[in-house]
Amino acid sequence: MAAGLDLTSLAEFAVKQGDPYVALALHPFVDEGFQADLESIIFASKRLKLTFAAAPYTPKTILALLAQEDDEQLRLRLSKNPALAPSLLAKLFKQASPAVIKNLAAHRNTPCDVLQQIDWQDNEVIRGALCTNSNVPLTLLRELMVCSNTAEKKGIVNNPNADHALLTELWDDGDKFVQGEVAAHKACPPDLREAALQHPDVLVRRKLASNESLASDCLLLLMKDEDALVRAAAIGNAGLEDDYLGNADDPSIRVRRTEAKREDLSSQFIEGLADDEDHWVRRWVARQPAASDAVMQKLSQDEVMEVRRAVGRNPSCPDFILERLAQDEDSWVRAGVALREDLARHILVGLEGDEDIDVKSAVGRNPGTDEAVLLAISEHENRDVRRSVIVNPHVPDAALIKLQDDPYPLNRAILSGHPNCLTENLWFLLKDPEPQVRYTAGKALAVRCLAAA
Amino acid sequence: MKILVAIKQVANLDDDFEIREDGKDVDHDFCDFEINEWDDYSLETALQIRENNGDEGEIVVVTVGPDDAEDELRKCLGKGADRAIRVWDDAIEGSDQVAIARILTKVVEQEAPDMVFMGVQAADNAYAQTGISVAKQLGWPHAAVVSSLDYTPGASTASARRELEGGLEEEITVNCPAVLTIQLGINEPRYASLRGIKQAAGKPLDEISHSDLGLSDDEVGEAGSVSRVRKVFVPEKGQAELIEGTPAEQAARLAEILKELSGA
Repeated sequence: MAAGLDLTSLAEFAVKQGDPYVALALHPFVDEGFQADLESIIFASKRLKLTFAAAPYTPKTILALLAQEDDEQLRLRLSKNPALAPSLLAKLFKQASPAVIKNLAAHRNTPCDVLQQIDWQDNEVIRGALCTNSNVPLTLLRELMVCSNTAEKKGIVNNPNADHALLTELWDDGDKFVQGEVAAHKACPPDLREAALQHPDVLVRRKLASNESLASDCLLLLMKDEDALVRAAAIGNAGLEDDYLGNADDPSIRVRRTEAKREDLSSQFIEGLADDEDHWVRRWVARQPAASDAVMQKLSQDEVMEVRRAVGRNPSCPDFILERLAQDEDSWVRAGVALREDLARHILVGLEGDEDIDVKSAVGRNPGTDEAVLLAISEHENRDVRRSVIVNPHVPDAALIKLQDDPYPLNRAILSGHPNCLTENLWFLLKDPEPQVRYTAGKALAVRCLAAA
Repeated sequence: MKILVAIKQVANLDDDFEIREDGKDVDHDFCDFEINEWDDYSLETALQIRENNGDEGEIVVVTVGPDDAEDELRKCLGKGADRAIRVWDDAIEGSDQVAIARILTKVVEQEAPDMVFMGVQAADNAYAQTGISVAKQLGWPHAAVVSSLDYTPGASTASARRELEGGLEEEITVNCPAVLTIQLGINEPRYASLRGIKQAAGKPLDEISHSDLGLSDDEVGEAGSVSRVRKVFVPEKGQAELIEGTPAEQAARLAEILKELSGA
């Protein structure tokens, strides 16, 4: 078998092998002469055509050919394929059956002008799909609104193209669920935001608090809401600046958990949350890069294992704490330390002899791990441990050669799609028993051939 | 020691499938084919017994199926089975589970294994009868839905645990040779190594017909079956309605629906 990076050799190999998945992978990369040969392999049976028409990984060149065929079953599958281009969806519309039209109405790539031509008056399924399709223009949304039921209104209210007038109409006609969605819409008009702020129902205020386009003054009011869920939604709002955070003493666990998750907490705020009675709060605090050594020191001795692991995952965690966590009684904590790419050499060496599978996997992924250790891990009896070596940027070639023959298909699939994969691996994997592996290997080889040309 | 493992290639349906023109099956253009999941566990049970017996003994896999079914036999050979048998000819088409069991019974009589393992059921048509029917035709002891097995090759009995309804389990002793139908989860089936798959190409795979087994045309196919598929169809979907409104409005709507359904 050839082992170089020559596209012609690769195409000749694919034609000789006759495998539809390798042929599919190469089709967009080869010249017209080879394309015709590959098409005879790809379209060898009705079953293959149906499979590839539905598959999101099918290249555009093949989808375009399938869309030219006069076959309702193919059209049905193509119209559901999330990768189908707008131009091909428009082509399908020209001879679409009712079933295909339903799919086109729901497809996120269907062009606006096609959606406007779809007859929706007497079909609830099509109407429902159009209401939620973000390519539907405002004019059509207005027409849909006239005869929409409650469920369809809920679809329209989530449509990003709804404008102030439409949202106002939805608010006036809608129940609390519709009003909540209006309050959460980025285009929610100011008067409706004000109404939502004063709304008696918690749901509407909570949805308003989650609206990322809300002004800080409004968020500050919602942070003082009597309901904890509303306060938590306001504090979790990405639009809220950390200056506006108060003290870490909210009586609700939900609120404090949301505070602890924010990525912009000051060290003072972190101090306030570090002694929280709730371990989820402490867990999130332990991951805060701004946490002081003193806070991390305290949390690294927490009784809850997940809190100690979170300290070990904190990018600011100092070595003296990591040294202790590397000897923690719980393997999940030790594994968290072993995952750190910035881990001091002497700590990593100490973990290389750990026999726990979580620690072993973490050592296998760590770029600082010694090559001989990686080679040993690539032969570990546990398939998930073996896989860790594949993604290590310093994996030795000898380990990759061993792993190309791994009995666990997922390991070979990961290898075939990973940048670490050797060209020699890819040629070997073209004959893998798993179609996904052959396809991925073929595509990766073709890309490398083009880059080398 | 010889263990015979019967396997089946089953159909996995596409989301959008079509019924064949005769209305008796799904059009195979809309199916993917693979080994029946239960049969993976049966083969693994046999492989583990042999490994625990110092790798002594023979494992033979058998299937009743057309040319494509050879793929599944090759996969079994790749995992470690020693030999495979595929039984097929045009007359076998249309066989029901009893006729298939008749064919497998003849294979068992020819091979004379110490044990026969089969899956509890096939994932596609789910009759769950073939294994028990083989035992009946052989006049052998059997145990169905085996979730744990303690068997030493050469022993006159085997201990098995069976799953029963209601979460109960039953421990039994069965005389050997016996037919056991193996339940999912009894073990963790292995994957065939690439080396194993390559080696499988060189292992023996016999293709035989019903007449090679001494069966007449009347004993296989529709003629040898006790049941026939009349129609395969997608049943009409039921209706569901989310009742919204105030409690009073919901109650009123519910009463309306109950009246409609009762014909009042």
